[in-house]
Amino acid sequence: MKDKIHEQLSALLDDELADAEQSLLVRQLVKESGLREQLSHYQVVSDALHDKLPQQIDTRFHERVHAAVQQEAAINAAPSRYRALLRPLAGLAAAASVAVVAVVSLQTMHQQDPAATPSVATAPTVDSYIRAENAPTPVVPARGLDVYLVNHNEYAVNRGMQGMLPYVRIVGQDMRPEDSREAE
Amino acid sequence: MRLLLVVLLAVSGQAVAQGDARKWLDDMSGALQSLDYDGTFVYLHDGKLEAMRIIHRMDKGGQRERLVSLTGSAREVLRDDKMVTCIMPDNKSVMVGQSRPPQPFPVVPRDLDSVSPHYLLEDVGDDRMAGYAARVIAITPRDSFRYGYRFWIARDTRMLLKSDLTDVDGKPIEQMMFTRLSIGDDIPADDLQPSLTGDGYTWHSQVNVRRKPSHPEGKPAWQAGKLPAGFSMTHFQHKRMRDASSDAQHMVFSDGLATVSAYVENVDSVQEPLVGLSSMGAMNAFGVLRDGFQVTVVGEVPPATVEMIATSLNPAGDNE
Repeated sequence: MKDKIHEQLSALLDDELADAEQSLLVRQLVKESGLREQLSHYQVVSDALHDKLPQQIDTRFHERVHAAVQQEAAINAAPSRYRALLRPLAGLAAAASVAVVAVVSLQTMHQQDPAATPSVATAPTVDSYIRAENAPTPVVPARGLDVYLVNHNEYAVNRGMQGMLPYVRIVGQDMRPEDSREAE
Repeated sequence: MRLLLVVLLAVSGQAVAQGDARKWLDDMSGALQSLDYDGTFVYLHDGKLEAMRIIHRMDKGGQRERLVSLTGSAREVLRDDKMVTCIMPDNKSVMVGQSRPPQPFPVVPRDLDSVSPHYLLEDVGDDRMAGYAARVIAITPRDSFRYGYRFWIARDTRMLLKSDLTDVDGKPIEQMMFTRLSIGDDIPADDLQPSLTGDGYTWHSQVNVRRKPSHPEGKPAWQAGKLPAGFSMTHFQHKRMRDASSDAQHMVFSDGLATVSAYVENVDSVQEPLVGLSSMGAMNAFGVLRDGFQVTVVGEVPPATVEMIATSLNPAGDNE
């Protein structure tokens, strides 16, 4: 279901979504803060992948999207106006399906590196990219696990073999209840 | 005789190759600690892709590091040689823990014989990553009780550029990769300051209190009846967990590369008992309630490993 919404968003921004579906999608954006946050998240990840992050991340981006689509819905604009509204705000054409973006853009970066020189012994390239489709089915982390992880990291981080991952795991978690992210 | 010579040469060749791989890993660990860098990277775990920024500076005062999420709930970790502060806006809490000073010991034990039965170290070859010439080093587990690693290490600075953490079949479980990295530039002090003050948040401190061990000779009162091959207990201490009233017995187990922690604490001091498996990327935890105690085992190891250790931990007398 989530995939379908993200596909619809991509189609909307590409001007390929039927009018009836456009109206439904904008209504969902008005209702669901989780979806707006997801757009914001995708935007940042997409920018990071393309090294186009601004100096300051706009953490209130999804709120601005909310205000804009509410205003637009209120005046019952023609569907085509939604595109004009969302495109300059979000610039999400390349970010609607971020997993695909990740694979494609990393491969592109890798292959088009202008400074690239022939490798002496080339590492397996297929494994060189971040591949979202290989991700395992997640087990939801238990609340309260942070206490153990922070403590354990004292030992794990010093081994060095983990690289930066011990604290990356803590920063990468979002322990807000799922319902608070999915809908208002 | 000729066959014996061929076998000996092959074995010594493999040892040299593993030694080379170990040197790259040691250098990478040193670079992560000693270089000044500011970078943006993406982190893939549990089907989610996150963007983060890391800023690291080494000066006379030691290491200082700030790691901040650019997506999600803006969690932030600040770390120096003494303290770790985790600011977590999602549950409005700040956790302060201890840092252990950087250890001089190598990433991989000098005695490769101790890890060779469980891992294969390989220098895979050259590649390019994030615009840098890189060397790829792989650590492959020989059984399903531990994870494998693949590191892309910058040839000139030895800085980590990308890492994959994989299962025994080589399938990635966690991946991180820099998309922007500047090394050696001046790091302004302001960039190492937290963006959140933690005002109005609940603060928890794990800073240790000296307390007499509850068991003679400072040995743990609990012990593991069963451990995966190669694992042994390397450390034991009493550890403050959330506040002054919560104290845990903390045992650390290692196979030379992977590290697992086991905590045994009175169940009354635990707000929400943890029972069964829980995961955070490649970090797995398994909780068991036994004899009025919460037993929690966590580590960057597969679920089967934390489960085996957690379910075999018993009061010492029960195993004797």
